[in-house]
Amino acid sequence: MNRIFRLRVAALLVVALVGGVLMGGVMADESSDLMFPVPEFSDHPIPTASVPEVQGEVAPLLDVAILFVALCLASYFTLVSRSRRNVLLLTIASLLWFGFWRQGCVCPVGATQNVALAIFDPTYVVPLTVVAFFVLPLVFTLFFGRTFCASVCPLGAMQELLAVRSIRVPRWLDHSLGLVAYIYLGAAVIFAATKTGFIICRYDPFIPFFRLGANTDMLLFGSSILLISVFVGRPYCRYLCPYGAILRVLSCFSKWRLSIPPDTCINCQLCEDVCPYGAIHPPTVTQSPERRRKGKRRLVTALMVAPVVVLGFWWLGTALAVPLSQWHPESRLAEQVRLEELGVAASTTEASDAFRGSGRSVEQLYQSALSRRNDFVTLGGLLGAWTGLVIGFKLIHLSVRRRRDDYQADRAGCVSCGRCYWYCPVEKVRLGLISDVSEALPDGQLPTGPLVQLTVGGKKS
Amino acid sequence: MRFLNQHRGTLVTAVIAVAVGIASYAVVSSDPLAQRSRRSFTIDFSSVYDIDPGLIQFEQTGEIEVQLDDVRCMDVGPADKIYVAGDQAVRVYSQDGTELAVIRTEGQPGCVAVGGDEHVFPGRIYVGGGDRIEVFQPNGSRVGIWNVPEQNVILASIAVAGNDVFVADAGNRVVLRYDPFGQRVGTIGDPDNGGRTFNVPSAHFDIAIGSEGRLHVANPGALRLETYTFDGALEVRWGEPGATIDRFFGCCNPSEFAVLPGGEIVTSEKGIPRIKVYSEFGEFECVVAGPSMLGVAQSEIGDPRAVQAEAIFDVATDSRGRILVLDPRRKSVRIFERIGGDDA
Repeated sequence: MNRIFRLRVAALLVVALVGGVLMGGVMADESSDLMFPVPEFSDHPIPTASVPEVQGEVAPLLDVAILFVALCLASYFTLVSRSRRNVLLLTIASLLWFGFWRQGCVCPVGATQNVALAIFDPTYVVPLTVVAFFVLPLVFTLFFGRTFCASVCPLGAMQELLAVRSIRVPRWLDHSLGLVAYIYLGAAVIFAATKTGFIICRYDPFIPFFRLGANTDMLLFGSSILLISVFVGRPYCRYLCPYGAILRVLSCFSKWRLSIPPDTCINCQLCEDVCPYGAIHPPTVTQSPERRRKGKRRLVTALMVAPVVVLGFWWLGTALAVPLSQWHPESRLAEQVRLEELGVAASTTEASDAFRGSGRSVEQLYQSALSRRNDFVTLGGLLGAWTGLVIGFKLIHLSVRRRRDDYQADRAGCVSCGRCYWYCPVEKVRLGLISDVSEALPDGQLPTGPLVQLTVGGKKS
Repeated sequence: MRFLNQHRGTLVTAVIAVAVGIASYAVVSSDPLAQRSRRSFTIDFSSVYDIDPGLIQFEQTGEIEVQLDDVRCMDVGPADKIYVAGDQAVRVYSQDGTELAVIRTEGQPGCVAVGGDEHVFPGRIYVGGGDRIEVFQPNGSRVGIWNVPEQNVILASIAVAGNDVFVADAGNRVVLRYDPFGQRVGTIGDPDNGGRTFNVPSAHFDIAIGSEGRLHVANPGALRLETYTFDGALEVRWGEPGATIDRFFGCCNPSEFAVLPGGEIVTSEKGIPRIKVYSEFGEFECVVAGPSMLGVAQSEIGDPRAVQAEAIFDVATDSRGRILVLDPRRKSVRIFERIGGDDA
């Protein structure tokens, strides 16, 4: 029944998506003829003047307080009470509050840009609420792992609830796509720092749903991400989220973190099978001396290649200064004005019309654009070096072999959703749902490997 | 069903691939360079951009360049001298554009008015800005400063009558009445004292002295002009909301207006920048200049962004019935005269 329901949900999403695409296409084709007539307002009753209430300090403080409480609850449910049900309820509550009620703003993901801008531009005053939203999840991650991702982030919540038919993404693809989030983070920081734009917010695929409105393109983008979420667990969190990239790093150093079984791991593999995020690693096998030597050679190669990769991407970044600078409104305006001056532009734009009336000279505009282009040579180089650093570190990371005696959640990749609790036979015994772990295993399957005593925070013995 | 089960992996992969393709297309086509999309929904202003030539009864006959970076407001004084305020100064020009004087002000001017021949101090200059009025003699020497003690004061306009100086406060949506010595003698539009409430959504709240001792007050949020006695009794109100040429468009218009010697009222609108002439009782008469004549592109019409701030044109009139338009973009005073006026 459950499976049929899930299939129907998935089918419905597909139909909705196709319908949305067709509708979007029709609207795109006809939009040039669908301009609004000039409103007449003839029948509009003119309201009496009123001064809107000034938003006080209470609402932002309430948001921060709710975020703090949600993070506390998420950490408690994940690490102490180990309740997937409560985690799920908190996920829904967070989606409703931070997503649909607060309409996805302020959120820690976007706050990254405000903080970046405040660091690079001393004249920009970043609200304390935004700073709190940025910092609180980081602090909690350092102590408890990615409990923010587990059930507080509305973006993650939306994908979490849709992850019903997840498939396993091949490791090579998973690792490769995972790098995109770090590159996106780097780009978002330099674009925010140069006041080019807040691209994280502009391309947030969930905002159209939270605010119940967006242009066709963003609705398509959001719908596609949600459709992919049905089959690939949390694609935005894993492969795009810039804030998630920071949390992944911090989570590696968290003081406490989720452990799959509450007591003794029986190596049944059920947790790895049910994890939709590919964030559970199986026990390692003893390597032959030949494989060990090969692994060492791979590590040495990665260590030698990494600086070359960093340098190569740094050069590439400097070479991309022009296209990167074109994202800045000033540079785009300069290009448009240049085309108009040469008589090549088909028509003027709103920005160029406004510029013509502003009194600024064309030379001033060109000078400003050239100055920005020079800035982007440095910034593009930094972005390239950052990209190379991420790739180099990934190569080194993949070359280092870690010994595992049991199934363990990946420190960086685990979003602490607690799904593995539901399926862990040891957890079921703890909860009194079954009397013996064998009752939870598929027919004929027996636990393999040594039994390892586990507690919250890692292996006991 | 068996087909689905057999090819489940392939189908899922295909669905993901299609979704990724659509997502990529959507991101790319969502105008990543933030240029105006050709598919964006916009209001079609073409019907109001071009004015019927038959309605235009004025033509530009002169232009005076103003030596100010930030031109804000304008008035005409005795002998038709033109007073233009901006930056931290009032510059005085003769009719032929010769600069006669520069009067430095302490604050940034927001409005200026000059006492006419009927004023008890002809030629006295009143410069409003923020919450105070700086008063100057005709020769530019300072007389004093009148402070408005209320909170949230935004002085938007000054009108000078024989023995009265009226000051429009957009912040508190009232018109303050002063005697020539700076003593407050009344308030128009104070609801606490039973007055009518003005609807002032922006900092444009213009007033002007009409004929026979009447005060015209723009009620911009109501898209009307109202005429009061100096004591604050409402006598006439007119103006209809709408985009057609005889109406006032948008949230709050007219933003500026002036009174011709014959009592007709010259209005200046923002949103759809256009300058028109109405009779004293609100009958639409003709157009002075439309958006294109004022140098405003069609794409700028209705634009609520900062660019619009430089598309608001103050107007004034002189004793010869000429209409003076302060152009903040060209930083000039453009002089319009009735077509064939000299022949008439």
